[in-house]
Amino acid sequence: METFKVIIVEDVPLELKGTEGILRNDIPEAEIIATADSEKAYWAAMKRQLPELVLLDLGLGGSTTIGVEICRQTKELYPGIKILIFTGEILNEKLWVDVLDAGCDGIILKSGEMLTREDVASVMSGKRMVFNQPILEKIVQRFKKNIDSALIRQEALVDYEIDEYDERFLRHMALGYTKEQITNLRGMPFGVKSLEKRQNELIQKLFPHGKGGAGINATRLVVRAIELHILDIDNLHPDED
Amino acid sequence: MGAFLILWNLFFSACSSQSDRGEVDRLNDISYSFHYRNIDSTRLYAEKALALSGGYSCGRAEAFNNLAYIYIVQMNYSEAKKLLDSIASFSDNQIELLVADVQYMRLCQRESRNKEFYDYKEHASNRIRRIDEEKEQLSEHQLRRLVYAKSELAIVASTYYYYVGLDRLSAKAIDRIDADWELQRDTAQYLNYLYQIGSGGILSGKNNLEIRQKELDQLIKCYILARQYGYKYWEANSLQAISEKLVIEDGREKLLKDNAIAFGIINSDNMPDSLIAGYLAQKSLEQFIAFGDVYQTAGSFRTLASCYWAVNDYKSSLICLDNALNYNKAIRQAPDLVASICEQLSLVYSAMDDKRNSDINRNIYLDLQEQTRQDRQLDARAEQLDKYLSVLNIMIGGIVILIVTVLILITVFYYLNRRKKRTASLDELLKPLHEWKTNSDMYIERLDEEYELINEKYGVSKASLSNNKRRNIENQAKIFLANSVMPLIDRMVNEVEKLCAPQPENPAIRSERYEYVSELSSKIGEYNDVLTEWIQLRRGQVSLHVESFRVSDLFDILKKGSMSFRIKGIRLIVEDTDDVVKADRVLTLFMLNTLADNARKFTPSGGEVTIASETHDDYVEISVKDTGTGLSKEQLDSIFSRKISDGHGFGLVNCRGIIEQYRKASSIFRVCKIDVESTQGKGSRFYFRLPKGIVRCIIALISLLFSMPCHTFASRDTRSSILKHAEVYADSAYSSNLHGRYHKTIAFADSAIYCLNRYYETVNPGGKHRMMLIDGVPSNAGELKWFHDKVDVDYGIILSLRDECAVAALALHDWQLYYYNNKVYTQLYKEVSTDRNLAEYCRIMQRAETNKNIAIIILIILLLIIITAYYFMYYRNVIYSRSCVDKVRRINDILIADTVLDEKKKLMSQLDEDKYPPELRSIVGEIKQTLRAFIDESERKKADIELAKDDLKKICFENDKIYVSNNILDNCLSTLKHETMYYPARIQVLTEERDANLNTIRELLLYYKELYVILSTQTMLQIRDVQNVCNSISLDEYAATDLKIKGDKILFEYMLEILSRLEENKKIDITASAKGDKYVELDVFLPSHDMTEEQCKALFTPSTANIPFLICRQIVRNNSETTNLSGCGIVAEPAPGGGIVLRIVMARDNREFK
Repeated sequence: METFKVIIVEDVPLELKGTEGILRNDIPEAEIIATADSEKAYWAAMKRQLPELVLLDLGLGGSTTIGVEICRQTKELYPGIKILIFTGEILNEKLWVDVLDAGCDGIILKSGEMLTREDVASVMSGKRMVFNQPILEKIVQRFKKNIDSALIRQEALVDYEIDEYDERFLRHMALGYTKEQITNLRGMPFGVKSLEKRQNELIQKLFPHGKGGAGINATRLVVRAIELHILDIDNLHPDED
Repeated sequence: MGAFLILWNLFFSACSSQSDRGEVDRLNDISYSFHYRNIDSTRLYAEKALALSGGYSCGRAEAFNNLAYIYIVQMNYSEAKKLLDSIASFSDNQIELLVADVQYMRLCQRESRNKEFYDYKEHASNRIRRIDEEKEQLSEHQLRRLVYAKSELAIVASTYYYYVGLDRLSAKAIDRIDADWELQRDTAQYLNYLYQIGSGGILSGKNNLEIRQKELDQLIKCYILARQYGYKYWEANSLQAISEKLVIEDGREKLLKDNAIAFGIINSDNMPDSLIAGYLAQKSLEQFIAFGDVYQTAGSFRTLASCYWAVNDYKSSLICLDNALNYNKAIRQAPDLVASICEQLSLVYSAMDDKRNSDINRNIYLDLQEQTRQDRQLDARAEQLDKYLSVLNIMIGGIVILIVTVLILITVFYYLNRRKKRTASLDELLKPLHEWKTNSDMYIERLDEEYELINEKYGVSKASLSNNKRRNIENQAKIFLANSVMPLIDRMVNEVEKLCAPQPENPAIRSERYEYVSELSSKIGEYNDVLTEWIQLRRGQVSLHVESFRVSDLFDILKKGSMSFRIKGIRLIVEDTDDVVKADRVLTLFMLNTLADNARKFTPSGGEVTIASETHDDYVEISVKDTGTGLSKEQLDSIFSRKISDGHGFGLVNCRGIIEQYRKASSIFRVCKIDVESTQGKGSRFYFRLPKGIVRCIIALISLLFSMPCHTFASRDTRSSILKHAEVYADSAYSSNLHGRYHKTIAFADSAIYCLNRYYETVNPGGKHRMMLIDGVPSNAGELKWFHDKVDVDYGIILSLRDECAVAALALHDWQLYYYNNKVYTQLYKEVSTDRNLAEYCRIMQRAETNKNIAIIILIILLLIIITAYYFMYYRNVIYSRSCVDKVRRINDILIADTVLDEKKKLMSQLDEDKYPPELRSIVGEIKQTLRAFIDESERKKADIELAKDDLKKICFENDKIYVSNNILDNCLSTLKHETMYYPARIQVLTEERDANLNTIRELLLYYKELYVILSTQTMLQIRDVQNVCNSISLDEYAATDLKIKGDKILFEYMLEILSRLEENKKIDITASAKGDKYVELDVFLPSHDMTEEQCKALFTPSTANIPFLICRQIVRNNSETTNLSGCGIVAEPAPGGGIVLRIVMARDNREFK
């Protein structure tokens, strides 16, 4: 790794000290040309000398999310400068997405192994989406959940013996189609009577133990289908006629 | 009367032959003349007359009467009644029927049957009236019978009144007889008259002796005449009466001396003065026995007994009395007679010192008095009379109503005839409308009031919500502070991990790292201190809304959630309860909800969840029992612990937090507790305890209790206390008698009399009559006068007093005292129990029936008239228009009735003006218009109210939610602080030893981090429940600008308030400017804060002094999070001319809608 210039944006002096320590001990290639504890100080430093990397904390003083804006503006003005977010907002997932949208090159949570030489090297070698271990874990967790739901859907279709007509019927009911409208769909070669029969069968399948006296109407049925991932809430579209 | 005459003639023509009739009358006359002379002859001739009478009913009736007379004399009352009853079945002869009635009166008098006595007297009086109308047509024989009947009637009545103690009426009855003229023709009745006067109670005089003399005159006259004409009965009777006059020693000598000539004749055997009374009584007895009069024989025995008693020959007296009672048992039919004999017996036994027999006889005497009381039938009779009167009243009422109806009808006809001018009645029809309109206006007013009330409540809730939101944002700021510790811990972990790396770094770096860890832990310590201080700072403001409320209120809310249990196939049982607890209502509901939710989560389908409340000595235990999986030993130990979280979530931890909060708040909450009992596989029972509440109505109840009895005591005065004393003395007299202390009785009685007299003086100042223990004439006794003057005294006391005195006197052999007290007692008793209205009552009874018949006839006639008139004059002509008016009336009825709005709406649809006659159209139109206006207005107002109520509910719901959240956050923060504050300092100490403690530091640090993560995660979860608000806020209120921002107005104003407070509540200067499309910058100038740039930067670092700025920062951060605009923030800068400027960037509102 070649040497590079870095500006550290950090408002808590003790934290700044820690970060400086990490750079000094682990990443000696990094040359700290300036530190900033506020937006104003940051832009002043930028004016003095442009760095190759900005190590950016998201919250500065009274502005707890200003880092996102700093990132956005820096990327707009100097797209070549790498920005690595170094934040303590370990729970605020929304903020991560914001800052990714703002164009940052990676996010390092101030947790676990903190800032590593490898991560910084990745960024400096031009990699995007550099995350340290804790945030990666979270991302993977989310990703798995998504895939799992697709798997569950597959299983549900098998387990509950849902054919394509059942799925279509349920999907259109969820979209607010009446039974008459559903019978008019091209992929639905049934009359209303058959649909009613099908609906009763679906209730039997999806509520094998009944519901303790509470009646099951179309809405409840559709919601159950969504719960079981038979319907994908993100892909609720009518058939194209 | 015509009919009566016809009957009269018929009755005469019915007789067999003229000669037979004459003979029958003659025989009857002879039979009559033997009355009082010889019973056998009377019977003989009467039977002859009866045998001869055949179809001559008058003669037969007279013979029956004569025979009945004999039976009465022999006291064969049942036979006498049979005869008298049968007369009416074959004869219409009013005179004989009158005689029969009079004989019946005699019977009733002897048997003390008061009511029947008056009945027959009334019958007799009616007959006399009828007979008097036809008097000229009566034969000589019939006239004689009439004289007999009338005089006998008067004498029997007089006797009756005398016996029931009505002396005045008795005298009045005797006065009716025209002795000088009418009775010249009937010697027997004349003697009867004389005897009646002479025997007592009729004449009056200055003193006892004078009265006795006057009476004696009459009796002597009677005796001499009786002897002259051979009337054995009267001879005996007058002798007996004279004997009674002479029994009393006092004045006897004078009487004998003043009437020496007469006594010369009477006392033919020249008996000495002291024995003359007994001698006469003996003579009278013999004559009565010879004559065969049972009643009088017994009377004579009694008189003789009293004579023996007077000469102290008690043995003979006793024999006489025994004879009186047992010579012929038939006398038992006459209670008065038996009573007088018993009284005499009690005297004799007393004189013989046989106290027991004396008492027995006195009691029989008193019982008989009680039995023959005239007012015994009073109650039953009064009821009957009332019934009759009410029947009469109803009938009279009916007649009056009918008359009124007729009058109204006539009026209506009049108006109808006058070309149906119905304007007046039409105005009437509008009246209900106007009336209703006033009511409906009031109703609308009530709705307005209700609306106002809801708005007021809304205002209160809003203020409370605002407070809670402020508390909440502050808590969030605290959490932010707590969270800012996390990176520092992470850095420490990072440094320690580096220190622990297998290849050690050079010592300088290691030392640097130790240094850094130490600095970090000291910083964390600082942050913790700030948090601690912050929490302490607000402790005083944390308030539980403690109140007494019914557990059932919360249970009702829980019941609403039974659906979620049903869906899971669980039965939710919420037991009814009356328990009242003292706690925070919202927090209690939160705890209940938490426990119920847990129970639902851990109970499989088909299970049961029971929620119940139970009152114990000083707490109420609310429990949630499930039939779920139950808890293991480990789970039980840690279920309420903060450090471990399993499926039960943090709910239970929060519940325990709330309970602890209670316990900290006040000692009344020391009973508070939350716990669980559980068996694995069977289920768990979670319960918590709260102190008992007080129901408000207790105070009302107490005040009610106190207010009740007051007035009962208020009206008492001293008078009653005197009377009370008298009663106490009378009671003492009674008990003295019981214990045989008779002298004491007399003393107590005297005191009682003194009290009674004093009482009399207070109620009747200037009254002359006084009670005495003993006095001259008993009939002049004070209390009798009081009774006549209607003095309000408890006569019961006096009666018992006199009775006790008589008993005591009897025992003390003080005969005069006995005589006086017993006499007064008897007299007062009779007078008190006299029913003066009995005669009048019987008359009314008989008339009531006649009146009733007449009333019914009048009613029927009136009814017929009305129906006919109704039909011809009204019904046929105006049925149509009337039905229309009726319809309008019905409409009015519905209008006025308290029906629901819906029914009134239905009414609207029925209102079609065209269906009504022209004159009614305007009315219907008006009703319709008014009704429509009312319906519109009330519906609008109701809708307003409903919306306002929903707003109120919404704000209350939000308020409750945020309130619970705040309390839990308080708990969480306080726990976080509490549980973790130890570690930083400890770590700092350990770092001093460097490598020696490295492993310990590492372990401690990792545990610290884990703990911190769990606790702060739990805390963070609580904020999720509070939804941030994002409304448009116009800034023109605060600064000279037309810009708008997005955000929560409550929090925005809170921020301004905090800033203003920094400037000692002065109005702060705000300049607003747009910062691009997305942001607005508000520059707030704080002149009193002079700071350098460095100081300005430090404003937002954690320190107690910076708390206001930390809260402001949290508000801005919230704004940023809600609007997803990360440019929001707050920066402080020194102002050019001193002071500082806060540059607050917030989300700009460009939305055009609204």
